[in-house]
Amino acid sequence: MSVTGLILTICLYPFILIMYVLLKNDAEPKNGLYYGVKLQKEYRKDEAVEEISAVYKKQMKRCLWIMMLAPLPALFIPWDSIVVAVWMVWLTVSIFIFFVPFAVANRKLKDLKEEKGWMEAKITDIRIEMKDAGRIRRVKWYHFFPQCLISTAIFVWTMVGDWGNRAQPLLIMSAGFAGISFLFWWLSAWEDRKKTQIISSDSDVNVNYNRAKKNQSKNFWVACAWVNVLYMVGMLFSVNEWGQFTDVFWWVNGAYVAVTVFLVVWLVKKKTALDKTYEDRRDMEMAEDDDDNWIWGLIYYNPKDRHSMIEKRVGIGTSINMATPTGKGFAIFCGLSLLSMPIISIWVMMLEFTPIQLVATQGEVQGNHLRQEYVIPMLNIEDAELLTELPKMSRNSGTAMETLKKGSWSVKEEEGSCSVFLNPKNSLFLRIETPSKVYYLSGDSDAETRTVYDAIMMYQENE
Amino acid sequence: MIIVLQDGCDIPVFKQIRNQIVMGISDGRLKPGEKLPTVRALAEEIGINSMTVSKAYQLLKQEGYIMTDRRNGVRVRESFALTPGLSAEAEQQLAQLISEAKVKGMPRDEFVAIVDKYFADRGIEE
Repeated sequence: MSVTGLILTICLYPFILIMYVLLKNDAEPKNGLYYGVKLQKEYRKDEAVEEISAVYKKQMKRCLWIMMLAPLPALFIPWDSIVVAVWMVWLTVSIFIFFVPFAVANRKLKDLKEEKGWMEAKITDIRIEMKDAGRIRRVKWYHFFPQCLISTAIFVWTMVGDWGNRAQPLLIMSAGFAGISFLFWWLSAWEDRKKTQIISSDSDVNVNYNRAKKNQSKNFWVACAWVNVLYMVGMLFSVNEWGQFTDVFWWVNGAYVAVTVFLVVWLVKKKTALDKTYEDRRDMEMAEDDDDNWIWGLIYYNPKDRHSMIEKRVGIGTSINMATPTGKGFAIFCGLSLLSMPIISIWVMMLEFTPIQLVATQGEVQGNHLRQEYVIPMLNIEDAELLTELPKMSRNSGTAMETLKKGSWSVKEEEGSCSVFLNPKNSLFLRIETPSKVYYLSGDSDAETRTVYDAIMMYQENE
Repeated sequence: MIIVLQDGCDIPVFKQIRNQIVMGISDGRLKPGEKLPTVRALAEEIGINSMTVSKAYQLLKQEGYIMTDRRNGVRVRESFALTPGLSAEAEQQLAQLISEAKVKGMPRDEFVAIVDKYFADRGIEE
């Protein structure tokens, strides 16, 4: 079983369950909407509408089973690049697949609404709650300050502390996760500024409902930020003295994913409970029949609305107005992120399946893999040694695959970092020492390595 | 208080905001002395430029409906200057409404009954 496959399974598998739960929740009739279509209550019992709903539920279950089973064979694929490619494709498909049944149901219901003449008079009123406008804010600086402070302190500690071989992996990870703490703060503050949702003609009800809702969101982001801090602390204990990740790392990752899933489920439950609590006080459904501003009932595109972030029309959370500059920027970012997945997969496959080449030519030793990686003038070689076993080493930067190790590595009993370029499956390796660096090299085969070694020896004898 | 703005309406947004606040004061949804949102907060809530809200507030201030002070922000006035009669613009609007009612064949009594209803809604009896 591939370790890469196992890691990806632990980290990515819960994603599908989160998507399923969220989208299933979105399909529940709420705020006068059904599958993202403004539809009066009495029409929801229509046979054709119930048929659309039944098909949707069946399709959702089918998608869940397909997506749960699809990546499992990847656990038994020995090539890392193929495993990564499978998971990248799986992740891309998972992002979209559950939206397809929803979009289909939305389209069918829109057509049915038009066909049956269930169109209500188009109301284009925009309702604004004046009471406490701009003052329903739950996020205060001190809610996120401790988490950001601790995260930054950990980052600074990994940067200036004496961590030996552990320094590089810890620094990279702490920088990333400290950034995430600030990201949570920013997301929370952004969500806190959303327009007041009107559910009642009584302003007090609207204010209390929105305050409670924003409070739940704030609590969710605060908890996420604390989990992030705990992860960073756990991370400090998960790298051994050789800079390698220990078993603790996988436990910490597993716990991080599990707690995040728990928090998402908790938020969904809390928001659903809040909606239920306010159900009897809800006397105003959404005024606007703005079905036309929603593409497939999911994507908000309204050039007349200046709000970049709006309350999701169905379900829990927020939507981005794709007509605003922020929305367009967000769409471009998402597009590029998605595009990067197949590019990364192809790149990783090229890395794994292109054999490395080690040649001695014109007084130089050259290491080629997709491009010329190393050129070592033989004149600079102080010592060359043929090894039958590799010393213990850990990656600082570069590539680590079953059949390829390259980049900058820390090697046991060597000072500083060494340049590594080899196939660890081989039996012969070349250790080359120059005044500035130590190299651990090999060709694609042992014969290739030996040929280069012989060429170096011959050069040194002649000199 | 909930205000309602109409998208794509001929009346400019600042005028719609002004009209809605005047209606709120008139039917008691906005109490004398009640605090109104700041220009920035209301603009952010509606999703419009703060200049538009500022223009509406300026107009309301000029007309004596609201007052602003540095400490308490924007508030509905405690009392309003009583100026008998309608403004020339309001009188023109009333004339327009009566003309429309006449063209559509609406009897005078029916029109007056609607006017009475709106007076009653605002606590003004005959």
